Amino acid sequence: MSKQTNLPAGVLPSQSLTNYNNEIKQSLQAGFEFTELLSTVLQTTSPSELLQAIQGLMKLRLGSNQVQFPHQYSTADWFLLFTTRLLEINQVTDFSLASAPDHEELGVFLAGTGTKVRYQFSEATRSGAYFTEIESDKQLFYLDFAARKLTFNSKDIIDFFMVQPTTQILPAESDQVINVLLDFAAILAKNLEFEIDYSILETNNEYRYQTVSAELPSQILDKLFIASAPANVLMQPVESGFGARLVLTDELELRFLQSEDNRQLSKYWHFEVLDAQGKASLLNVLVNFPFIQRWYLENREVLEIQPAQPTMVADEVKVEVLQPRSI
Amino acid sequence: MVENAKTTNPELIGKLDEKLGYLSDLRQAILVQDDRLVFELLARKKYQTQVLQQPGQSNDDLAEMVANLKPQLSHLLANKLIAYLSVAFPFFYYKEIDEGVYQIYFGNWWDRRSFGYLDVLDVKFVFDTTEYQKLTDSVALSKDNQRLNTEKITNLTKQNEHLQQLVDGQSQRDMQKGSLRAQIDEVTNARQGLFANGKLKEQRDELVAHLEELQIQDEEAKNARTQIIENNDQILFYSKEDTILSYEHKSIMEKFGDFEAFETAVAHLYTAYLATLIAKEEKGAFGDYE
Repeated sequence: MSKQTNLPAGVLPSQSLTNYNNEIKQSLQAGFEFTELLSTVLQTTSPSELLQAIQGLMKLRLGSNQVQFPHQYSTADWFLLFTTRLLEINQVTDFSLASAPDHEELGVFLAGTGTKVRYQFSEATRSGAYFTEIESDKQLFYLDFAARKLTFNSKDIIDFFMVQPTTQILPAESDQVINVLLDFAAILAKNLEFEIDYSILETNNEYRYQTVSAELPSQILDKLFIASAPANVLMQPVESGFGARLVLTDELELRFLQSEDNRQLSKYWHFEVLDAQGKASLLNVLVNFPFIQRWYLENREVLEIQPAQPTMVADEVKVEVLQPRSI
Repeated sequence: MVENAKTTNPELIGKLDEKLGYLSDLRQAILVQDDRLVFELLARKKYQTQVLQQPGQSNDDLAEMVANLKPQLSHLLANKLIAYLSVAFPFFYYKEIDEGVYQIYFGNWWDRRSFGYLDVLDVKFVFDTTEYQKLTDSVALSKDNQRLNTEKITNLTKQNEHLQQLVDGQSQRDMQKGSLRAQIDEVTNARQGLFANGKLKEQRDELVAHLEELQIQDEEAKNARTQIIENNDQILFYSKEDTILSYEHKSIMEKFGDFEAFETAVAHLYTAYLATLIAKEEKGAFGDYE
């Protein structure tokens, strides 16, 4: 006859608290993994290891009911850490990484604009994020991990360097900032084989900066002609095809013409920037030649370079979404 | 038989010999590329009086024979002439629009003007009179730092300012009209009363006149936007013309120093060119310009 007790049914002590223990173990394991990844990010000299570790950090879910990690950096911060570490590995020093004193947030200052403005990544997902100037909210490029691509944003770049009223940025300052951005893009392409869409920053002499217009009001070219005279620049018709050429310096020429290629369906007007060293982009021209810049901004609705906005890749799902252009 | 004809028609035979001689000379001159001689043969009197400065004798009756070859002759002679002109008048460009017919373009800039024709056989510019007049006018005005269209542009700009004010003043006018109508009603009602008098009528007429004036301005404002755009197009057209004229003037100054020197050079083009051909001939160098 077994002894009756008034005890409730229980678990064996050896089997108790296992879930609890596992949960903590998992969290600590994740925490350990996290520090390993972060150490790699901070110490590695290998760009691909850096990218892998950063993506690992983004994937990791830290913390549970049992173990809290109250102070965490955001996905946007990991993008910025990746960017600045990659520059550091390549001995580029024209930037300064800044950390908020009272919470976990990173920002970066770039040579040229100094401490005038600060940059961060925004709208960050694990697939990609916009490199953004905080005050003006101008998105200078989209860094796409999923498609391994960097796309410069012509429209916001122009807005930021030429239109925005709050922060005056001098031509020399623009050039410096742009150089840092270009350095980063070049490193991405070289070290990690990212595809780069330079858009308005493209320096290849052969590149055609396509505008949004197939048809132009006839006066657009006349306006440029009139504006070029006081600047002592002679606007001439191009030798073949229809359009204009402006010899800006001994080594720099801007062309604006209608695309001739009949095989191409598009007959959009485009710019060409030719320079002896192959270092000048359309943006350089706009920044350094005020009469062209004025003309461009006054007629922007027809002269805007396309694609004006970077192609976005939605998180996880690889579907290309074309941003609507403002017309 | 031959002997007979020569003795019976010595005069006719002589004339035919002269024609044959002329054609043979011209043929030879073209073969050895003696442009100077070709020019002389095509207009002997002009050559003798202007180049040699002697009394000349016309050979028009002989030159007449090759009148229908003018396009080919012009095409042939243009070769060296245009090479010479590209140095003497570096701002002119030529386009052969038909055999031997050369259109002149002034400059290599955007929307350069077609400026007339080059008469190769006469070695003469035939400028488009309207375009040339614009150039001489703008040169004269430039002495007072004025451009050809300065006045027109100023007037159009003023007109646009006025139109813009009309557009901007719409809401203010609407308010004024409301208040005027209220006042007119008031006066009208008062007039119907016992104490109607001339002074009230006068007051009413004044108010109505003011209202009508505002309504006219409203009408003007309605068309103002279209007018402003039209005026802007006009301003652009005139500015472009001024820009082109300033380039033309500038290139003349760069080559000739002043406009009169240019005009002189244009007037003496024939003698200057022929003198150059003679000088080349003496050096024994043909076709230097090719």
